[in-house]
Amino acid sequence: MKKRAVLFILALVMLTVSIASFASAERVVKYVYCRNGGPLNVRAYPDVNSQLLGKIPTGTQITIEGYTSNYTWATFIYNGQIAYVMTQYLVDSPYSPVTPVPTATPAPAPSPSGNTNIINAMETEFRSYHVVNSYTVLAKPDRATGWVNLRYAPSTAFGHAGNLYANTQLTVIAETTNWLQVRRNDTGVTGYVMRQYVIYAGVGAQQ
Amino acid sequence: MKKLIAVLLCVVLALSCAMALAEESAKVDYSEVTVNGAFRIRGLTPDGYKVEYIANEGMPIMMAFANEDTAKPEFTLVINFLEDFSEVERLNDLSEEERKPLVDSDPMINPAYTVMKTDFDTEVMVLRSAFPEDYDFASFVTLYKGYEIGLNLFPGQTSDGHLTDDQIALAMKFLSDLDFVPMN
Repeated sequence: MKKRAVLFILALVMLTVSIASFASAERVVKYVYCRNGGPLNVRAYPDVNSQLLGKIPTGTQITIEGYTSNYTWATFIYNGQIAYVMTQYLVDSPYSPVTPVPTATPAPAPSPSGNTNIINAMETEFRSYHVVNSYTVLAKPDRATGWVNLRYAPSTAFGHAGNLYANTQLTVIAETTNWLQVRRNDTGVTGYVMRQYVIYAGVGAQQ
Repeated sequence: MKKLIAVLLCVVLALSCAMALAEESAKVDYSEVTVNGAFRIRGLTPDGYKVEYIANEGMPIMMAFANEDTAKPEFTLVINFLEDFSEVERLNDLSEEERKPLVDSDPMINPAYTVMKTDFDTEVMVLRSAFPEDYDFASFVTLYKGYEIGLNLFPGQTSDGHLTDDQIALAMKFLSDLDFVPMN
């Protein structure tokens, strides 16, 4: 009888712990985006050779339950079972394609000078600078083998402090209107990235 | 006389075979770069260069090469699986229209890319910076069994900030010499 009670309590404790850890995992809403507008492969395991469970169209909203340790794969529930998609095909908001309208190149304005414009733009960014509770983002370049520029200051006029390839993990330290001040989780180098070139990955700094 | 010509021919043939073998054996097996158990990479590291770091956990897989002479360009080999091109064997199989999604979303590149061919007739898109005066680079992009193979070339840190035609040719040669060795 005693043994049974102990086993029952142990099972209860284990169940409570597992429910607690599942609940503490942050669920994040993402949208599927394939550059060719086609559907995304859904796989049974985080491996490109694993079984194909199905395909989900570009634009589909999914709720991410977690990531593999290197953030290559995101896991979600697909037709009642755990499934995986590649993180590089997820975006934070629904993608709405904008057709660029060709415009004539404007003649350079006589004043203020280019440098003044840059300084003004940076001043505006720094005015909105505020420290935030740290959270993790992943670099999301426009091309699969391309990169995102990590810059010394929140302006494209500044030299870059490094190249961030897809899924590079970054801890956000502070934000401005258009830029995030980040620290690379692998090297510790800090700099600024444009908001549009990262996706949110979770609360807190992660290693 | 005939005998002499025959002997000379044999010598030439033997020498060319030996040279070809020497070049083949000079190839380095970048054994750490195994791509999802599908293939591994073998190549000829250009003179003066060494592998600076390798990132092989997850995708993309990366290898960065640097030269002791910091005026020489740096280059990074990047390999990433493309779910949306997973059934494409190589770039040659895609029309110009089908290739567009690989490149046209990146505002940093000049949309007027060129196409080069490796010694094995594999097509490679050569992408150049849209703002070479501010930030010069070249990216060489091709596809192999659903993987995008990209070689990104940047001017050396103590250079004048621009890439030369010779440097472009060197990078193209490196890419051309890469072997993708199937693992099964």
